[in-house]
Amino acid sequence: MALRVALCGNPNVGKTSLFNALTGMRQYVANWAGVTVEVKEGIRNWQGVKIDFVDLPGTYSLSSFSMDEKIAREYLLYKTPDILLVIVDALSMRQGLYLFLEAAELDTKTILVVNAVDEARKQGIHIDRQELAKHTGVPVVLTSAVTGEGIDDLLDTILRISSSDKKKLQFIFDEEVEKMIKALESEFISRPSLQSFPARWLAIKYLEGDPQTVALIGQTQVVAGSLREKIAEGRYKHIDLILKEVLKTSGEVMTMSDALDHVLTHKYIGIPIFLTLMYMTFTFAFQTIQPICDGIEALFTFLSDLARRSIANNTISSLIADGIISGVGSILVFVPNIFALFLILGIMEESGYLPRAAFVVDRIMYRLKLSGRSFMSFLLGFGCTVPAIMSTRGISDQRERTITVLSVPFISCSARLPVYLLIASVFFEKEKGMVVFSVYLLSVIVALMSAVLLNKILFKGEPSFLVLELPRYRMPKVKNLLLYVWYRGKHFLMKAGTIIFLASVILWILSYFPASGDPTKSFASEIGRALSVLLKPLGFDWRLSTALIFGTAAKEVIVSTLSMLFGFGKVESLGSTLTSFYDPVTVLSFLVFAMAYIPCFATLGSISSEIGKRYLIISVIYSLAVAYLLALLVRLLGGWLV
Amino acid sequence: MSLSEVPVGLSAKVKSIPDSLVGSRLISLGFIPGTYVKVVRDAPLGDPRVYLVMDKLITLRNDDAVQIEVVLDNDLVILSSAQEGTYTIVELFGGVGFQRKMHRMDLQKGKTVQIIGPMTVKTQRGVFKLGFGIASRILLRRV
Repeated sequence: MALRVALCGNPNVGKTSLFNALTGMRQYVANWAGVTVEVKEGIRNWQGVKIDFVDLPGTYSLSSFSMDEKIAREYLLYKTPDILLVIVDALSMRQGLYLFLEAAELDTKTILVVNAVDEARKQGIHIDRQELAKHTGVPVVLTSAVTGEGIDDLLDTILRISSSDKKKLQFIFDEEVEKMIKALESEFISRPSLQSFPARWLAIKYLEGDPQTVALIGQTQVVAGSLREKIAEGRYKHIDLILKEVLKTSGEVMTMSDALDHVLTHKYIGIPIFLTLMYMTFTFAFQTIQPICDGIEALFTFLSDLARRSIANNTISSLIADGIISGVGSILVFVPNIFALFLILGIMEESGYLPRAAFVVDRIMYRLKLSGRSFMSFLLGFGCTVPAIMSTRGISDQRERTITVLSVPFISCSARLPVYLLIASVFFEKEKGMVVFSVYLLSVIVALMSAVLLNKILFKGEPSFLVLELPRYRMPKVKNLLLYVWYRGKHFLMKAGTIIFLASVILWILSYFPASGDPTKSFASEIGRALSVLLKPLGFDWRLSTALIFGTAAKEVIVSTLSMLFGFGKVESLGSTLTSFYDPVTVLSFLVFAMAYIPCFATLGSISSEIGKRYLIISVIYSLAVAYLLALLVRLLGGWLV
Repeated sequence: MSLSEVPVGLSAKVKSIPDSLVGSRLISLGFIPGTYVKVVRDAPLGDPRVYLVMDKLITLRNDDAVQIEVVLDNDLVILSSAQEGTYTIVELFGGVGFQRKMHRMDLQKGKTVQIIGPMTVKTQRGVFKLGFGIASRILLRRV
């Protein structure tokens, strides 16, 4: 039997680095018990014993105020590990020990891990391990995930404690508080429904006013939450007493962190620095890395040509060349962008800049009931929506994340540019730049308004609350970065990959049959014809409608579809034909529709894997509605003006 | 006064925390009645601000910080909320330009001034009616 060991701790205490140091490449992401929440697990063999490590989200307490807290706490309550490691940061021990005091009441074998001792030593802080163990009643290990110090010691301690008896830990509060706790405790013990929980812990949580505990217990003789402040005070008083014996400090040092903060969050240059870094991220992820993407694209073009030439059967060769290879290729072409983006995000997160960036621009986003964290996702949306949606993983607030994921697709990604350029250069030769710019501007406005609207509809009345911790700056470690990129990028390859793969085969079937490859007579064009009834008010005929259907595979496909439907292989001769078919108002509303309607399959795939299938459907309906309304508006306004 | 009114650089003692979910979150972060919170810096657009709470730097939006009641140390008061009377200037929170501007009105660290009305200060150079922005950056001690 493997020994199950869970890691919990405040955010930014180096918990993930420690987890990486403990497990290395032997990690995997495990979906935990029905919830769409993922918990990272990793395995280590030590002295012949298999240890299964679980990395819980960082929290400040085990209440149920935020998603992260809920996950950590539910895991500890319902899937209680054999051993719990509470990781505290050597330089901010007070808040760390607060969580420890809470966790210790859970009746689990606990080890207190003080991480970043090397940094503490540099700042002249000495931590007395024996004293700390004496006062807390649990084994204490001093570690540094950066230098690897104390890791073996920690593994040894885990094995040692696993074979020893469980010790009951309690931290005694003031008499007044204790009396209430005892009274509740005896009441809870008599209730059969509460038998599986540690009674004292429940009593404390109830007195703290923790929403889930209160919901579980209901009314008692005592008012829930009545001792909220007393309990916190009691804990911190206890912590101060412990630390007085444990910490030896020799003078304060002006740290590198303060100096960096002075520049990076500066009143005047803070925002310019942020924008510069964003610009560099953008250039790196979408330009510097582009040759690799082009290489992949060329490879897949070569492969599909090869398939077409070497397979005699027309249908099979088309399925393999146009359906499967092109479909898979259209996903893999994103991979370098996504990995590059996660590399930068990793550097920003590991170094501690990311929360500062959010801090610097928060004011702007707060107006929209979002926070600084989502700013970056919106910005990345100009490159490609898929990595932009994946970057929302950094947003801890579920409400904000959902809103961002549903609104980012409106931002004009680079794949929409060919469509804009085609239409603009054909119909608005002179004002070409102006038209493209206006569509971009419109896409930004629509995205931001969508955020406000969704906030009103989906999350009416929920308060938006932002607390960020600004951790110390750290030098990112290569190993951590590689793991960061790999585990996030891998996810894209697997999940979005399967969905797009399937979708591209379906799309191929629709476009190939029944006329064996003639797009004007395919199922897709039939659907286009049917759809054009709906799109008639916008002035779209079946050709434009069909182009829009194909465009759901990837928006740039609209251009190639149009050229196919008008019977030309070449895009160049498309212009004059288009002008004879449509008037400027129609194409303008088509342009707006193309900007806002259904995100491409790759995007839908990532929406579904990031926030759930339900939102995939919501996103489709929502974006169609927005696109329809906007296009109709353009048509009406245009008709009135012209 | 509320935490959002405390000028950058100054510490204040927490008096009360709102009785809400937000309040409970603040408590677990270390905002506990009786403890000191230091205002470390503000964001380029003035909101949010960074606070040193126990051992950690925590950012709060002013809309949230306004719900936290704090008190300054005895006798200390921000000019914007000072009653009439005689005070000494403890600190001027601002850059070089601000200091120079204050200097012209004879508002300097250590000087004694008289408050003769709401945000109206009498120095040796004369009587000045200050705006809220300036008045909230001047820390006084009652004499």
